[in-house]
Formats: sequence, C-alpha cells, structure tokens
Amino acid sequence: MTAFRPRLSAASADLAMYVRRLAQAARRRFVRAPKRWCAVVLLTVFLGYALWISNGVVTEFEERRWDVPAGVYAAPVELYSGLDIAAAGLSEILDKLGYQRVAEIRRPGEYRAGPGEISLWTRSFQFWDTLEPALQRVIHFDAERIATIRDTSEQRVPLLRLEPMRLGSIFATHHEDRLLVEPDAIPTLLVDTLKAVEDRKFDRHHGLDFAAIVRAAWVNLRHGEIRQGGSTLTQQLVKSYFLDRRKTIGRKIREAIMAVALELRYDKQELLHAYINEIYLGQQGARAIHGFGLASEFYFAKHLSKLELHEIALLVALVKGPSYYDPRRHADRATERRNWVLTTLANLELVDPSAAKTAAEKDLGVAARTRVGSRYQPAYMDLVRRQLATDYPIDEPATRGLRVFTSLDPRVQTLAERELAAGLERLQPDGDEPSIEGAVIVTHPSTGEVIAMVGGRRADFDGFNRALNARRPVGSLIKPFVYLAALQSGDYTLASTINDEPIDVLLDNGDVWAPQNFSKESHGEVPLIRALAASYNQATVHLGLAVGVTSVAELLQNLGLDREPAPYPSLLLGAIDLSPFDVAQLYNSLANGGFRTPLRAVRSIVDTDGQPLVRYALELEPAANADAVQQLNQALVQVVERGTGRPAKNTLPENMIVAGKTGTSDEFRDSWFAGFGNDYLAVVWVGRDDNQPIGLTGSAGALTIWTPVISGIEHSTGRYPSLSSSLKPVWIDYQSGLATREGCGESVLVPIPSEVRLRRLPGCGSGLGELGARALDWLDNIGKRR
Amino acid sequence: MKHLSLCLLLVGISACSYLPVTETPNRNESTSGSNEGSSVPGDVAGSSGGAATASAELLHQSRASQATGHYQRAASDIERALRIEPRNPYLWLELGKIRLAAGNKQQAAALAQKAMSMTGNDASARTAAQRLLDDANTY
Repeated sequence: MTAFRPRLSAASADLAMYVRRLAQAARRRFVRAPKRWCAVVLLTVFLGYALWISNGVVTEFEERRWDVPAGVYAAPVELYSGLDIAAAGLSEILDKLGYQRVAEIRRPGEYRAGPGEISLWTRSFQFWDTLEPALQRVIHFDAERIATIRDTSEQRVPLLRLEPMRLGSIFATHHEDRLLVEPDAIPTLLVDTLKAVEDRKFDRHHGLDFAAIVRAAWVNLRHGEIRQGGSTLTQQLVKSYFLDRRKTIGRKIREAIMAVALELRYDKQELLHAYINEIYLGQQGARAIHGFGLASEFYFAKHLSKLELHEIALLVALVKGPSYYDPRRHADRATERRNWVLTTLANLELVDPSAAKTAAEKDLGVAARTRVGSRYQPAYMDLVRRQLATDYPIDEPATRGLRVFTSLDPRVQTLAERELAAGLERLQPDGDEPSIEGAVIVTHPSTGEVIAMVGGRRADFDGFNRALNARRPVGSLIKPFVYLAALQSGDYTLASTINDEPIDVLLDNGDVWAPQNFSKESHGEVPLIRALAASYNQATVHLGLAVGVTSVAELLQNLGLDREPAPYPSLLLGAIDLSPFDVAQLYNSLANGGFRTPLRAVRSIVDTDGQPLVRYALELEPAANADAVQQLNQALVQVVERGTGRPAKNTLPENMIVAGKTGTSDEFRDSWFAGFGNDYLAVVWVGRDDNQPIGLTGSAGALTIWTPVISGIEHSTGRYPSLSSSLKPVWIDYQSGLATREGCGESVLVPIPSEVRLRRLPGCGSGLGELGARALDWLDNIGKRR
Repeated sequence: MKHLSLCLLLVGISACSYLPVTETPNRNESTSGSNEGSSVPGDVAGSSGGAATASAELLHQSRASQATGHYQRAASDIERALRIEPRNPYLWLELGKIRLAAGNKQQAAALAQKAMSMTGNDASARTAAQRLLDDANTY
C-alpha cells in the first residue's frame, strides 16, 4: 500500500495549482526584479506546455482503458448423432475452447474422456438467439462418428451446441490485436519479474526514478551514447502510446512530464495493468504484438496463466528490445538475457536459486512460427472487417464490447491451412526462392457462408491476403459460364455438338486472334460435355461467339461478379483477373443450383447486454435457370470423371462424387481449381506473387491441394441432388454425343431436357433385334464349345 | 427342346432390358420423403438419421417461435437446421414460409424456387413448394 497522497480529479488541476501559485509569486517579484520575472515567465510557459501534454496522455490512457473491443467468434460446433467426428477430434475442440480434461467432472468447463466416450459439462453462453445454459452431457462414439448424445438421465438428446471459439478482437481506438489480461489474471511472478528487471522502485516513485536517470545519464555520458535507459514502467507505458522512438532530450522531458501526470492521476495497480496489456513485445509481419497476453500465445502458444518461470523470464527479457532479443532469430542473445533475468530474480530472493538454475538450463521453448491451428486468423478477420466496414462501422463508440459471430469452421480452417502448406511444399520443396504461394477458400454453398479462408503459405502471418486481394487471370475457370450461357439459351444440350476447329477472330483493334488448344490438336465435332470436361479452347470460343460474349458477361454479373467484365472474345478463355474470393462467389452460385447468395463471414452481432443488434439473414436470388445449372454441374462432374480433373480420382474416396473445373492461365502463371461436392465448395489458387511462370497446370498444381481438402470435409458419398422433373437421364456416347445405352461406346449418363430427342449411335441401339442377335451369337458360341 | 427353352429365356431377358431407364443418375438410391404430410421433413438424400432428428428438433423450436411472431429467431433455427441438412426441401420451404409471414415476398418466392429445385421425386414437397410460390406471388 502506498502512503497517503492527495488524490486529484485531474493531473491538470494539480499543475494548474502550481501555475496559479507561481503567477502570484511572479506578480510579487515583478516589481522587484525584471530579470527574475523573465525566468518566471519562461517557467509559466513551460508549465502551460506541461499541462497540455498531460491532458493528452491522460485522455489516451482513459480511451484505451475503456476500449472494450468487439469480440469475434468462430461458428459454434453443433454436435448430433451421425456427425462425422472422432473422440480425438472433439477432445481437440474442447481443448481449444479452454476446457480442462479431468478425471472427475465437477464444474462447467471440464470434460472426461473414456474409451469411445466423452462426458462434459458445457459452459453457459449468450448466443445471439438465446442464453444457452451449462449442460451435462455424455457423448458416445462409434468409430469416427457420434453415436448418441445423452443427458444425465440417460435420455437421448438430438443436438448439442458448444460455445464458439474466440478468434480475436476488433478495437476501435487502434485496430491492433490484444488479448487483454484482467487484473486478477496477472501472474504475481510476472509482476515481480517486471519490477525486478525494469523498475525496482516502481512501488515508491512518482513516475520518475531520479537515481536511475542520473545513473543512466552518467553511463551514457561516459560511453558517449545512449546505453542505459532510466525509464520507469510508467515512462515505458507513455512511450508505447506514441510511436516516436527518437531518443532526444526533448522527448525524454515530455515523457517525464507525462509519466508524472499519469502517476498523479492513477494508482500503481491501474498503471501496471495498463502496462501489461500495452507493452510492445514482438512483430509478425504487419501485426504488432502488444501485451503479455498476446505475447504468451505468440511465443509459447499458451495462455499467460500457464507459463512457467523460464517462459516468464523470457517475455520480460524481451521488453528491452523485442527485435534485438527475438528468440526466433537471435536465440543466443535471448537466452543470455533470459538467464540474466533469472539470476536477478534469484539475487533478489524472488525465486529459489535452484529453480532459477533449472530454468536457465531449459531451452527457450518458443513455438515454431508456422504452427497451424492457432487461434489468430488474419485472412478470415480481414473478410470480417470488410463485411463490417460496409454494413456496420466498427469504429463507433457504440460498437464497444460487441460480440461478432462468424461462420468460420476452425476444423476446416485448420485442414485447409495444413493442406495448402503441405501441398506447396510438395510442389516446390523449400529452398527455392522465391516461393510459390497459394490461397484457399471454403464455403457452404447453400447458405453462402465462408467457413475457411487461407491467405498464403504461412497462414498465421498477417501479410498479403491472397484469397481476398490477389487478382489473377482465371484461364479456363471461366469456361463453365460460357457453357451455362449456352445451355440457358435453350439452343444447346450437353449432347449438342460444337466445332473444335481452328478459328480466326477479328478483334476491334484489327488484330486477329487464333486461339490454340492446349494439346495443339483440334478434335472436330465434339459434344458440349466433352468440350468442357476436356477444356477445349477452340470449341469454347466457337460456342461463346455463337452465344454472344455479352451474354456471358451478363451471366457472370448475375451470378455475383461485382464488376462489368470487358466483353472481348478473350473473356471466353478467361482473360479476366479475379481473386479467389471472386471465383468462389461465382462458383457458389453454381453449387447452389443457380441461386446467388452473397458470400458472407458474419452471421450476427450482439451488444454487451446480449441483445441482438444485427442479423445477416440467409438470402437467395434466382440468378440462372436451375435446369441449365443442373446440366452444367453434371458436365463439371465429368471434368473429374473423365476430363482434366481426372487425377483427383486417384485419391478421392470411392463413391464421392464431386464437380469442378481446372484453370491454367497464360504461360502457366496461375494454377486454379474450383469445385464442390454435396455440401462444400473449395477454391484453390497457386502461383507466384511476382507473377513469374510456375510451370503448373490447374490439375498439376491447385488440384493436388483441392483434393485432400474436399475429401477431408465432404462426408456424404455417392448421392447427388435429384434431377429436376423437366430433365431426363439419357445415356450418351462421350465421344460423339449420340444416344446410346449403358456399356455401349463410351457411355455416360447425362441430364437432357425431356422434350429433346437424340440421334442414336449406330450399333448401340436398344432394339430387340439388336439384342436378339447378340443372344443368338452367344448361343452359337456355346454350341461351338460343346 | 433345350435350345428352345434357352431361346425363350434369352428373349425374355432381352425383353426386360428393353424397358427404359428411369433412375436418376445417382449411384445409390435416395429415399424420397415419407410424405406424412408436410409437417415432418422426409428422409432426404445425404442425411443420416441423427441429422434428420437434429433438424426436426430445430424445426419444432422454430415453429414455437413462429407462433409467437418471433420471426428472426424462427428463421435462425431453420438456418441452423439447413447447415445440418442443406438438401432438405422442407427446411427451405419452412424458411420461405417464415419470410412470407414476416412480409418478405421476394425472399419467400426465391426460397420456394430453391425448395422446388430440391424436391426431386417428392411430389408432396413439390406441391407444397408450388403453393408457397403462388402465395408469394399473389399477395
């Protein structure tokens, strides 16, 4: 406890009092000594200045102190019987939610895992729609899925909604990230270590430690440079508010004034609390790591309360220079300083010497930077901010303390990050500079929710978000929309033939464009379905010109493209730059059966009292003819069955039917794959930031990442939405487009509008005579064998 | 005699395979709705029994909210159900009904169309979807 000190309502009141007294004294002395009066005037000016900046620092302190951020949450996991998740998977989720694994459950937030079973006591949570109470449940597993969920009286329960994982915060004042530590959650050891290392007289001084300043000044003078800082914790706090890092006398004076002002205004506990949450401790790309709460996660992937002695010592060691002592880049320096901290603690008898010795022998213990599954989701948070910025300005004072509920699925996010990193590693083993990069987006097409977004190879790095911001030529990814326009026109079916022949297109500027097929071969008359599945360029251009480039451009806009594409013929082969997000929006409309629903990340926003403020309802708009889309999607299934996406079949689970399209841009600069199963859509892009060729087609590059992602999340197998009643399934020959029967020619079952009659492939009729002839042949052979 | 009966057998078999294919291009059969009136979502393609029970529970909750005019809450429950069973036409229909009750005709019509596209062979679902579409377009 500090001794009695006058408590003032404002630091400025204190200083104002001094000013007044001095003014009185000045008046008295004015008559007597003009020279002294000059000095007094200067002093007054100085004090006026001091008053002004004191006000500034107090305002800053207050704003930050009351800046309760908007909390951002992932989608809550909904458990039900039949859900594909193993006990280990659920354990992982519970661990991430901060549940304690115990031998015996005694309170909410604990769980027990047995063979094939998990018992838990959930925590109460204020969802946007209801306050979900704490519930005791037992979940039984059957191999990799949930068998039953029961309550305490053994009754089966159909559904269990867990509380959502917290992803991060959005602060109104500074837009930086913090993991705020509450006063009662600050470990005593941390406080002791801080004071021991940075400011031994913290509890006693009034903002400045004059002995420390004098000592530092002496040391610095002797060495001719700034070597020692005499800054108290309070001074450091002030320094961290303002970016200016110049070490001038003027700044030091300013800092000193502000430190005194804060000390007059606030007590030691408040200052310490602010310090713990503010101090700069590291950097990750564009993201500054402030505060011990966040630093603990950043360096050790652990909650602050779980840190051990050697870890706390390292964090405090970093205060002096987070870059200079960066444990990941300068491990030796970091270890040396950490051990000096430990020695200091032992010398001051704050820890046992043997404990200090043991700690000093330990490794730094810093988690590898590219650890996946971390809670920080910069790419996804980007999307959240973007959505909020347009619809709900988060800077408003009224937005403080809000809770933002998103549709991020942490399991899918983790899978996507892992597969992208692993895939890029396979495609370009480390060591080759510059590295190839990639992006992944996963959506739930029916609802238009974005459930995962990966902005680059290093997912937790807050750098360029390629998923949202990398606009690249899409190449063949555009083709499905050309074919959809054709199917929608009513003039074409999947069996209609088009010309895969050389074509010269006269452009507006007088040039002649003569597109080539990838294989440099032309194939003559080909059915639509084959032209799309095999991605023939020439056939696509013929078709696109017949349908009209403007129709295609219009269709793209209807399906969600947010700008007007230039209607040049080259659009037909994908000479348009889109981000993976743009592509996902377009393909989502296909996966959703021709209904456009704007892709979104935020589901709802709730205020500090739990009252719902905003809810983004599911909204659809019919954007393309549903029958045409059904036909097109079947062609996209053939892309994987028989076309350019065929390599996926080697690793996809048997019976999993997926639809998609490869995309390769000019000179192999971009490798794309966009595709969907029954319940999920995923878009993958691979390329180089500097736009240099990577030498990979869509199937050699992006597809190798897309396949494990979709296999990991799609669980329903073998089923495909039932056909519309105006379509009928018809067997056609994949090569010619003529009608056939199963097993004759290269037969494939496709939806065709009911009223359409197709010509038959010769020799593949289903006539009785035909069959009878074959039967007689067989009989004949039997006769011969006998 | 043996030759003759073999011939007859073969002719019989070939006659059977002359019947037109009527299956939808599924690898497995999808069981159509149980059609016990439109109050219960049928057993739909791609869902396990547990999923159907879970969404039935949410549907039940939603109906309770609808009865007291809490349309946002009602819609939110259906959206939760749709995340579990996205291809259940009855859920899309229910959402459309809620939008209509809340006065959003445009969305009601769009959702009716979406439901329609999911009905497949389920005649009862298709009728209900048509009815909703008519309602949305008339008043």
